[in-house]
Amino acid sequence: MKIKHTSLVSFISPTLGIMLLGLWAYLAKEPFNIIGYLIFGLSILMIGFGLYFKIQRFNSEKSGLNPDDELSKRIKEKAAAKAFNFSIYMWVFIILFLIDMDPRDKIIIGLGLIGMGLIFFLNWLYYSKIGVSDED
Amino acid sequence: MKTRIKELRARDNLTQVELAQRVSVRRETIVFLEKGKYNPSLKLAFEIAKVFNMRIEEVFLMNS
Repeated sequence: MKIKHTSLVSFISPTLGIMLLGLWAYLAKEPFNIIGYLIFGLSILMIGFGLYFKIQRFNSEKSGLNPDDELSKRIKEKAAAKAFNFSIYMWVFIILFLIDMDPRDKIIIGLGLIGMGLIFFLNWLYYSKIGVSDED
Repeated sequence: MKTRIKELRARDNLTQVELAQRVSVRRETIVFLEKGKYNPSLKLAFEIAKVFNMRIEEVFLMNS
């Protein structure tokens, strides 16, 4: 089984992300409101998670272990499926219950949701035809 | 599904990391396998059985 090597270059994007967030906070003309703090906090959290997984992967490879084995792939697939399901319902909820949302924005989000559904359906058709191997 | 992986590792003096290296998986996968929380693919099951020089059904035990 081939092992992809995590190079130090792959740490550049999360580092850049943190730097950009810091720059954004520094250059903000007004103090953050609650939404600003929320966005900032969630961004830091996501970048932090990304860094954590990269470090774990790097350490696994250093130990001669395969960081992308069948269980980690299954976990990713399960998480992606759950995220997709949750996203659909979340956006439908937002469209239906966010009263002071611009109707044009609602249409755009609705089209996005339809697109998500269509992509899911096309993938489902495709994999139903060709099957799914363990190597995927 | 129950496994005898932990017992067989002790028999062959293998750590979880060493077994993981031999079958190209993460150490966490071996942990999940030993706890019976993950059913491996056929390929992985064959590879693990090969490490211990046993048949699959001697390493992995189906719950009745």
